[in-house]
Amino acid sequence: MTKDSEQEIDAYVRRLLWALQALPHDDRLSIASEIHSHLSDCAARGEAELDKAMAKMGAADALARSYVEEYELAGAVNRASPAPLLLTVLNRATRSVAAFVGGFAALTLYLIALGCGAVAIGKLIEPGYVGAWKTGHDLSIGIVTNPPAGHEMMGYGIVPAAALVGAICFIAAHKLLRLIGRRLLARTRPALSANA
Amino acid sequence: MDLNSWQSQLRKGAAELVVLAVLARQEAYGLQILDRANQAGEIVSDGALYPLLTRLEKAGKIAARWDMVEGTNPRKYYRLTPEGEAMLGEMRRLWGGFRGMMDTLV
Repeated sequence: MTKDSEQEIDAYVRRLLWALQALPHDDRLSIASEIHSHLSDCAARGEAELDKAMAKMGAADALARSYVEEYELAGAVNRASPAPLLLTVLNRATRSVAAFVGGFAALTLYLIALGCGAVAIGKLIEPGYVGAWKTGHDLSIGIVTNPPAGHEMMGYGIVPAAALVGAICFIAAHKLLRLIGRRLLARTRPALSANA
Repeated sequence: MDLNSWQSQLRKGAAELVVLAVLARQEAYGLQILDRANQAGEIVSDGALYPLLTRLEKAGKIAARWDMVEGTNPRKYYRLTPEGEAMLGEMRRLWGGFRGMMDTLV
């Protein structure tokens, strides 16, 4: 391997290491060592092979981005808390229809679950302002600042009903989010070939 | 229709199966996997292979070990895990079905 090739490989790996800063230290080193080893093996076959390998490897920051995205998504899918996964999915909403539709559907379901939780708790704290009222053709359900004059229909029955609907929405949002996360993970598979 | 993009999508779908099939034959490091996967035509590029290997390793489908021999490049060797073997078997079955269906239709 020539001195120029060595310098070219070192410079590429330095840029890659720098761009991989979001990853755990040991993983960064392992990735950088593997790419260094790959390029050195290619350089040993000749300069033309190294040039070809560098071209197919792509820019160091683009390669780093594909690793980082892989880690972010895999980490978020495996974490118990839905917040990181929701943020990761919404972050990809401009690049994927599945992320856009699924992310916003999950967000809506979480907001409904949150609202139901507020209704269930609110009924126990301020029972006069939470309930379901029918006045004429109008139906008001939830938390109101000025309770209608009509008869409140559900009483404390709204507490388990809201809790049940909230739990169903929360579970559905959670499952939908993980499904989207796994789909996105499957799609981050290799951009294969020089044409990809 | 952009045929390059369509061809690229076909390759994307096949890459994981090809990499697992290569590793089912014997343990190999990145460049060996690349050479074997692409011997009949380019399926996976250098820049796509390594993130794929990392993902398969994190998912437990393949396992890796570093081989450090003085005077040579350190190399990360990959091998299939039992979980990876099971997935490969299932992927082969699905691939066979898909290929048969396409042969009938096209």
